[in-house]
Amino acid sequence: MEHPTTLYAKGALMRGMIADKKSPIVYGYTGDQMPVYFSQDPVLRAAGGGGAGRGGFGGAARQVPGVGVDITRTRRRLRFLRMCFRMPTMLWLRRKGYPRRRRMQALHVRRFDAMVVVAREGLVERVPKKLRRGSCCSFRREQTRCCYPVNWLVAKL
Amino acid sequence: MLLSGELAGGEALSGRALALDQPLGAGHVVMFALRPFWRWQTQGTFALGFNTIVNWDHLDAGKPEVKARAAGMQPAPDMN
Repeated sequence: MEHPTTLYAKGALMRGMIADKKSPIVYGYTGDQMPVYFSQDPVLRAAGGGGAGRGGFGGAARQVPGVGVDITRTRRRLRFLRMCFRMPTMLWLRRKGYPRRRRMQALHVRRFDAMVVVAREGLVERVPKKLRRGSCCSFRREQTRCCYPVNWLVAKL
Repeated sequence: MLLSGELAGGEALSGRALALDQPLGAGHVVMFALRPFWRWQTQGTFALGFNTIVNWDHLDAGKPEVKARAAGMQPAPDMN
């Protein structure tokens, strides 16, 4: 069991490969792949590679196009997102008197098509609509991914 | 590998298992790296958990020789 420190995958959907279709664990599932929800850890390393388990990211490295590719673009995109949502939201929060630590927790949640910020413990506050338009990630919105689930925002408090 | 969401450092996941079924003695240890029951949201993987629970004593189905070897026993004779 691993807890890689270089990994960032907070509530993402991953492509899972079914390595053993005869296992009772995957009764009812057809096909070789299935999308799964994965969040950060644990990461299981099976002896002999991914094929030893019932399924995994594993085996995937050789079988699925796109797996094992360079993820430099993803990291660059993350930095871009952090940069582009920050300024207008930060100014708005500053005017409202939020301390700096809270301001830095402002994130864009595309899933609900709204910009939200974590205002207090467990409280999510909507940013005014006029602030959303023309700012932040509306630029190249469809090309960028900014899916921070709300529970992640709360968990970061 | 990534279908939706964000991922950095994904090489740490390459070749890793999402679900493991490890025979231990006469039983099994089933480990999930994914979260089959994440609130109400991951309904597509609910069955992984239910299958594991319902088939707790038949997890070796399809692999009779593995169970026999793991338990240090001879395979049961065919009664038919």
